[in-house]
Amino acid sequence: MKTLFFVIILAATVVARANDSLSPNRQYAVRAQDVITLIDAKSGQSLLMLDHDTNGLVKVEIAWAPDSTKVGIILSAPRGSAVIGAWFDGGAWHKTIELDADSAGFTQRAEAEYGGRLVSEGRSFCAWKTASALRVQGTMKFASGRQCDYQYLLEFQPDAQRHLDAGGFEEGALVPKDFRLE
Amino acid sequence: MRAGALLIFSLSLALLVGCDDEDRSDLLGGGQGSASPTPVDPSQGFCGPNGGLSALGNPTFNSGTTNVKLDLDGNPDGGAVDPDWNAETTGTINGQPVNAAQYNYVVMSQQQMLTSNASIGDWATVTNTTTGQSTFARVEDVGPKNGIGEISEAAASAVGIGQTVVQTKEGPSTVPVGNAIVDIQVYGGSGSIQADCSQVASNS
Repeated sequence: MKTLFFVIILAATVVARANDSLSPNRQYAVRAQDVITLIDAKSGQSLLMLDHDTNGLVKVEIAWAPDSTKVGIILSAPRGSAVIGAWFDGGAWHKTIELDADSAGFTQRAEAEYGGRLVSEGRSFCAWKTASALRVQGTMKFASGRQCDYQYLLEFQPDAQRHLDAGGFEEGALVPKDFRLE
Repeated sequence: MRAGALLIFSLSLALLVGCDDEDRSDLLGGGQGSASPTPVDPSQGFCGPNGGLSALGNPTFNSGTTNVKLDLDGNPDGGAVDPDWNAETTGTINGQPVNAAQYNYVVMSQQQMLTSNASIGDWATVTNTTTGQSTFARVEDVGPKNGIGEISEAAASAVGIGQTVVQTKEGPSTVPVGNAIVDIQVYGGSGSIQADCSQVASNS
């Protein structure tokens, strides 16, 4: 009976939909339709537009931090992917993005080792290593036909110097590091 | 409106493969999804935007000078001369892949698109920095991270860059001829501007 009561209360107070990815504290959710938004799970109100166009995406992967103040999202198209993130500073949510340039050196070394330019890649989350860093694994395929698996750590650095780009992302707050080939 | 473009979330234990043992799998979310592409009227071709370059405003992405990488995706004949060939392109024309031999298109990474507010179908220009030849194109494919300078064979041809087939260890491969260096500019949010075939290209 207590369980039933709890379920009824939960249903009445959370308007997140079945396909939403709820934060661990169930206050927020990421919703992906034509656009990807971060919403208030109770009111359904959009808090932050994360991606204005999901056209071409084949997969969206979400990893909430244990304290529900950060979320990482991998957007995957057939030949490439991007990692974006959002963090709550106590008053508002901000969005950021991992820059291709931050892995350019690693990619170039892999291209030299495996032969030819990178022709496709994909990534997925492992899990959170700390309150502000999560591990990412990826696969890269090269023009030689060879491919490799790799991992790296993706760290939220909200106090870093940030630059607002045309897409509304605060660049500089999501930093990949410790790249390693598998 | 991309009717039916609903991405579906689900928990995916497959994400754990290859990850460190101490990682916390209980915090994962995500899963497979799909998206419906925006149809494009093939009668418009990719001639140029109605109103010309001035209608596009300022570019939101500039590649800088970069070496051309030819994309043959969407060209049904491309598989024989491109080991990296894909039958599909991210963008479509009435549900069909965008034929690289027929349409001028550029390829962007997902990050480049996000940070420049660009979408599939947005207008772009490709300029041969050696000759000054320029053509309009659209963003029609998403490539890997750190990718830059990848354009359709039609776009390369439109700015005077030829192509030839060379033999590689992986088989025949189509590469640009000569000093194939271009500058690509993308105009985020311009995809809704209709095509006008009096705006084919500029050769300035």
